[in-house]
Amino acid sequence: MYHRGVERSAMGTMSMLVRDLITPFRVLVTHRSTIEAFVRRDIRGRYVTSALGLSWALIQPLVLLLLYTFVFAYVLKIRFGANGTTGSFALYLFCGMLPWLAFAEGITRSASVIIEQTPLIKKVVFPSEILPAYVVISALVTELAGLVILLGGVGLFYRGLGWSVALLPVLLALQFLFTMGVGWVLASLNVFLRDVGQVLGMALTLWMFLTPIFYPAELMPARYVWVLYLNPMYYVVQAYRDVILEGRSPLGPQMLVLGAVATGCFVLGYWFFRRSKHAFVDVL
Amino acid sequence: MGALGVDIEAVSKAYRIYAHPRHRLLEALWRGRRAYHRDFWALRNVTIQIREGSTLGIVGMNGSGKSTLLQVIAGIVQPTHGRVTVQGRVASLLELGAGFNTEFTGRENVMMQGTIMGFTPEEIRARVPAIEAFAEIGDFIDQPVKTYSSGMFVRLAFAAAIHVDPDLLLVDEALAVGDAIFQHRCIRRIKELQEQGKTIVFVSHDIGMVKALCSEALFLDGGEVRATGDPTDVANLYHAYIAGLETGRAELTESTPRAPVVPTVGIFHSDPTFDQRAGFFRHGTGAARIRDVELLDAHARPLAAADFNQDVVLRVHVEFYQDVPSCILGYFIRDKTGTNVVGTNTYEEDMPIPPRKAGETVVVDFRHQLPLMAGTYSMTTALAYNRYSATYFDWIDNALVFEVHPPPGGRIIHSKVWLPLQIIVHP
Repeated sequence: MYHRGVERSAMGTMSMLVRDLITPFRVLVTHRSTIEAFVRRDIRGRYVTSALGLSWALIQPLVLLLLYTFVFAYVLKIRFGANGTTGSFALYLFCGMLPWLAFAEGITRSASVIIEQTPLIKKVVFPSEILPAYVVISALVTELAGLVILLGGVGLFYRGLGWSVALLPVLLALQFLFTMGVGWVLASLNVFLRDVGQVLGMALTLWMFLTPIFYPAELMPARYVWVLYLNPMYYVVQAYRDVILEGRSPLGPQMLVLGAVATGCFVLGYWFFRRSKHAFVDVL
Repeated sequence: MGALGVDIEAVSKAYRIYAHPRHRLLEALWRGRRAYHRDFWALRNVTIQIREGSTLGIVGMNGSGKSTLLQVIAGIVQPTHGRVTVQGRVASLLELGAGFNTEFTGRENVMMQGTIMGFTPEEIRARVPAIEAFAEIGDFIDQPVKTYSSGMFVRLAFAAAIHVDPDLLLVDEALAVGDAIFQHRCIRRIKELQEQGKTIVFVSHDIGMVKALCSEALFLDGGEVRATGDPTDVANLYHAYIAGLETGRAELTESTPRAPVVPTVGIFHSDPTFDQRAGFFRHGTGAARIRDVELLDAHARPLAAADFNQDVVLRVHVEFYQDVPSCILGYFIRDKTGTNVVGTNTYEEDMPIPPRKAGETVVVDFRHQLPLMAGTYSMTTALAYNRYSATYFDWIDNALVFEVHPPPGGRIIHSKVWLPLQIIVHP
């Protein structure tokens, strides 16, 4: 480890960097069938014992949507756009809520997934990096179900869907990279320091309200706008609204920032997890 | 000698013990400049080479590092010092049903376990019939695992784990589960894997199992290797060690009080070379000692080898150095894998040994036939205080080694023991 830096030549550094960038992607591809099996089992496992089954994946966000719409649009009278209605508020809200819920669920479950799967860590030769991956992907799959409803709602009751919807997969991919990176870091940290799990719930509530989900970004006082700019989820939420509701491609520079941040987070998160994973079994 | 399957080189493993979780954070923040932990060494300088196709049994007390060693070989735990090199694919039976989800059916869990172990769905599907047949849980394979009895759970988990076709199989106490029939099949499956030339490492409290299945054994004590080598020798040492712990002394010492030999029974004798032969495999308090063990024919003539089903006398000479109100003398005849083939004791056979005073002796004859398969057998004999304690006056493994000849006329004995029987053919 220590003499690594000494031996690196300029070329070596380049190829090393490329390798570090590629490795996390390659790991996910290599283990794709294992991840898929875990995601399937996870989704089925959550609903297999309930009478309504998979419908719960939709009922829960819809109930939250109704509640938030009532509180923020009807009671507090927050409006999106110049002459927004309560109906359009619901669509704007849903548009922000879906990626946020997937993100929050992904990292919350990542933080506990290693501890939950202790038997696998301690007793089986197993690539533990796929555990946070499957919970993050599982949350994304749940989000997809909500997206279908959202797109249907926008297509039927709003101004219709534009070609920009084709950019959604790119957005989902960037959202995944960002969530995955954070998920890997939290998964590892929580093993060594269980306080992380305690702090996380609180931090996520703060983070949610600092992300323009319930209110238009324009309502943020100018002196605090920097808070938005530092928040990757702000770019995600805005891009969702651009692509789905406004029918336009999201702003180039902002997408570039998001892309760089998400990829960086993904690569660093993997590196962090990789560095610490060998110690899990000693601590669990 | 095959190629090297596993090479364990000077492996040590330290666990960091923190008095409080907060100390772990503090230490991380100080980045090693201040230590808040103390080390617990689970393994110290363990070196062993396991040849391809051999079976290594690991024995030791709880907490001696057996499981840690398996985890290190599996690659689950990183050694603090030293190196482990493993050839080929490893399957570990460190915990049965690790990763099973009880809400799902047996079949789904088997598929999932295969996935976790890195198999493709096609590979797993090809194995499912064999797993089903081995587990013998019938239609329950398609029921949620939560409806299983614990026996069924274990059977399925074991079946799934052992049908993975590994190059190296690691087994941790997992065989001590299931009913007797299932255990037999597990052992047979392990023997099959041995015949296929797989390398196997297993941890067991069952010394008999280690002797019966292993080609080599390792005795771990406090994370250190106490002994390696022939499973019977290692198992005997381990057994002596356990008994020594119980009596508070691991070995019979030379300071054992000795009274002058005053024969009270005409035929008592002590063989001066016997102590020498027995020394290595011996333990006990020494308040009474076995002075000689003989194999005799029906006319009390010594035998070096016995014929098939010959009438023999196993004669044990015991000398007492303290007053002993009661004791039990027992023996086993073991085959070369260390399996107890026949054996009993004076308590079970209801033939008590009368009270003895210091300096007195007793001679006990066990008379029976030897309907045994041809081969080498050894006799283990022990003098116990009572049936409740693992403390012995004297315990001697390999007190006597003898041959049994094959039966005359080319007759073949297909099993270890032949029992007198009657065959009736109803035409």
